[in-house]
Amino acid sequence: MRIGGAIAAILTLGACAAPKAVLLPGEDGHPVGALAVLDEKGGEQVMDQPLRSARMTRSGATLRTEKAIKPAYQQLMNTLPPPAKSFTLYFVDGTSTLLPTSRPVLDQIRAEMTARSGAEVQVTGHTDTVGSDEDNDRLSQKRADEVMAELIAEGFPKDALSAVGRGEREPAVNTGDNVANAENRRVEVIVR
Amino acid sequence: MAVAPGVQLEPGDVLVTGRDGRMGVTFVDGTRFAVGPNSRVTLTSFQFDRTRQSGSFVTSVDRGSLGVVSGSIAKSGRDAMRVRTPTSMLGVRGTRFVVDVP
Repeated sequence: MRIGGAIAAILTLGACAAPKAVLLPGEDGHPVGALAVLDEKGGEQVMDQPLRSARMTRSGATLRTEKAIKPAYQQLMNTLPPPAKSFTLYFVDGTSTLLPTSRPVLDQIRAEMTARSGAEVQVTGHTDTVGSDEDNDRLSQKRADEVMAELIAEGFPKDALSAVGRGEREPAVNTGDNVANAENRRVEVIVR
Repeated sequence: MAVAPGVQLEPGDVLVTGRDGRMGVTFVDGTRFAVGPNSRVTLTSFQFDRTRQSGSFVTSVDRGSLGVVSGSIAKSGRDAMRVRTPTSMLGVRGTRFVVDVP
């Protein structure tokens, strides 16, 4: 019995030594996706079902389906940082003045920054299509700078934030040129 | 170099954890990493075009464990995101997986 146990242990160790990949179910009900073991000749072995795994040696991969997620893997996935969160703030036509209805969003952003360790914040300004490209580049940058200044004023470290203006290039709603649109006069903030 | 939360990483950086160490990393394309204990993970290359939401990303798991939720780069092209282990190359087509190198 003892000898049998020892042999089993050695065999298990041998089987564990090769690198392994396990495809997990998608996050929050998202589809599972896929993972492929690629070889140098352009061939591939695809895992596309939850808990499909590959044991990978230099001579190739062996695929199987795991019965359950190993507790160590579950624990590992629990240490993932939370997904990035995005916020949108809206502005008075042709200005970098926040609409009063968007002011509470600043508080939501601050709360999100405080809740994360080592938060990084990306602030992107946009405009509608009224006016020249150059003017809108300037206005979108001003809107982004305005939001960044509000956040820095609350004591968040400056180098954790960055602000860029994208002018009228990335509208939320596609309109023709020279169309006033409240949804496009915005700043998007991503906290990660 | 010991790191505190908030440190920015660059391509070529190597993430190393000790016996009780763990690390979480968020990338600009939305990819997230969990690095387990006793691990060594190299960020071999990382390119991302924010406007096009596309790029390429190669990571090497030299030892230990890496948990991944992939982001925009993996969606931007076939095998635009790859993970290398000492014996293999993985093409990432989404989204959650673990790589374990004993």
